[in-house]
Amino acid sequence: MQHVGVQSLLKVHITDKTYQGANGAKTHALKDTQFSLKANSFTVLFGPSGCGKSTLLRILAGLDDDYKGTVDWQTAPKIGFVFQEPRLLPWRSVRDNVMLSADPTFSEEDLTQLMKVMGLDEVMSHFPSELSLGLSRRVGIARAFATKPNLLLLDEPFVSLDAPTAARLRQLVRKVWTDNPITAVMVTHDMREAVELGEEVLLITARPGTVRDKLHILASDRENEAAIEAKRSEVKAQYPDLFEK
Amino acid sequence: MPRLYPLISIFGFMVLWALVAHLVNDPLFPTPVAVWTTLVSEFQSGELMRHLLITLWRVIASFVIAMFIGTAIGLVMGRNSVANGLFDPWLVFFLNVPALVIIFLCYIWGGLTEFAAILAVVINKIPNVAVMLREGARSLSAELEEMAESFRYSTWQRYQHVVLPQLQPFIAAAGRSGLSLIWKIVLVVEFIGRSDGIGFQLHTYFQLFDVAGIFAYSVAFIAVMLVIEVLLIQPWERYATRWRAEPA
Repeated sequence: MQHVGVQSLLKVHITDKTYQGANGAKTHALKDTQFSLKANSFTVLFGPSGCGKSTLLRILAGLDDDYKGTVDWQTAPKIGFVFQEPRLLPWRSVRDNVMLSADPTFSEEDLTQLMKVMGLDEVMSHFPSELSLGLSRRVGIARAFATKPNLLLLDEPFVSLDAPTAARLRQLVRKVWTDNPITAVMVTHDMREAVELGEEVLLITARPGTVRDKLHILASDRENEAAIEAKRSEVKAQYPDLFEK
Repeated sequence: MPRLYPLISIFGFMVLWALVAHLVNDPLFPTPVAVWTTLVSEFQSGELMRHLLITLWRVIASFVIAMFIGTAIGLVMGRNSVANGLFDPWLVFFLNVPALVIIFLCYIWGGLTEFAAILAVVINKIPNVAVMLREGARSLSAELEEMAESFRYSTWQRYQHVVLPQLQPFIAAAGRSGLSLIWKIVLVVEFIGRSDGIGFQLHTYFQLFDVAGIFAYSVAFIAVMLVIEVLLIQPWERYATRWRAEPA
C-alpha cells in the first residue's frame, strides 16, 4: 500500500569524506554520495569491503562529523545501531544490556515480548561471555529495537555466522521489522542478504564510494532462490567491481 | 588436604620461632607465648583497641581520599594528552620524593596535627593511584565508547556502566597495593608526630627496647588488615568480576 507523497525521513548528500592515513596520505572514502530515505523503508547499502559503506553508516549515526556535505533530518534523529561485533557490555546481563539503551516508554511487557520473538527469553540473566556469537548478535539487534529508533542502522549483522544461523537471524530481523516498521539502513556485501531484507538496494562502488545504481526488490523475490540468483548475476554482469574477488 | 597447607605452614613457623627463641634465650627475642601474653594484657587494658582504632581510622580516611583524587587525576591524564604532557613530570617527581620528606614538610608547614598527618599519607599515595589509573584510562575500549555515544547514554550512565567496570581491575590493583602502602606510611607518620596510634605505641616500645610489645602491636594490626582483605576486598572482587567467563 503506497501512501500519497511518502515522507522522506532524511536526505543525505556527502560531497567528500577523506581519511588522513598514518603516513599523511589522503584517502577519499566517499565522493558525491547522494540518496534519501523514505520513512519506514528498508534500504540496503551493497558494495565491496572498504567502499565506505560503514563510514556512511557512522555518519548517519552521528558518530563521525568530519565530512563535507549535508545530512538533512526532517525530524529529531533517534538511532538504533546494530554493530558488527555486537559491542555488548560484558559486565551486564542480557536484560540490562537491552534495558540500559531502551527508550523510557519501553515497558517490561515490551521487553518480554521482544525477547520472546528474538528467542532470548531463556538467556535474559546470562552475561555476554556465556553466549554464542549468534545469540550475542541477537542481543545487539534486540537492544537497537528497544531504543524505539526512527532510524535503525545495521552494520553487516550476519557476517561470520554459519549459514543456518545467519538465515534464521535474517528471518528474525525481517519479522521484528515487519511487526513494527522503522526506517532501516543495512550495510552488506552479500546479495542474498540484500534481497531478503531490502526494499531498495543502493549499489556502492569501491573507494571512493558513491551510489552507482539503485535496485527495487519485490516482496515476491525475497524467499525465491531463483530470483536471488538472478539478481546476483544481473548485478554482477553490469557491475563486476562490486563483488569481492 | 590442600586447604590445610596454610595452617600447617603457620604452625611450622610458630614451632621454629619458639625453638629459636628458646636457644637464643634473650628478652630481645621473645617467644610466641611472651608476645601472646603482652597482646592479651594490652587488649584487656583497652590500650590495644584504642590505638588500633585510631590507626585504622587514619588508614581508611587517607585511603579513600587518595583513591578518589588519584583516580580522577589518572582518568584525566589517561584521556587527555595535553594534561598528560603537562603533568607527567609532576607525577614522576612526586613518585620519587621520599615518603619521609613529604611527612617532614607536612608536619613543619602544617604543625603536628591530624590534618597534616592525613595529608602526608595522601600525598604519598596519590601518584601511585594516578599512574595505575592512567594505564586503565588508556586501555578503555573506543568501541564501547562509540556504542554508548550512538545510544545516547548520559554522562553518568557512561561512567557507571561503561567506564568504571573497565577500570575495575586497575582500581582493585591500586586499592590492593594502596592499602598495604598506606598503613605502613601511617605508622611512620604516627611514629614521628602523633601521640596515639599503632605507630606511636611502636615508638614507645622501641624506646623501651620491648620487643614483645613491638611484636604484639604489629601482629594485631596485620591481623586486622587480613580481616579487611578476606571480608571486604576479596568478596568485592569476586562480585565485580563475576561476569568473566574464566575467573581472573
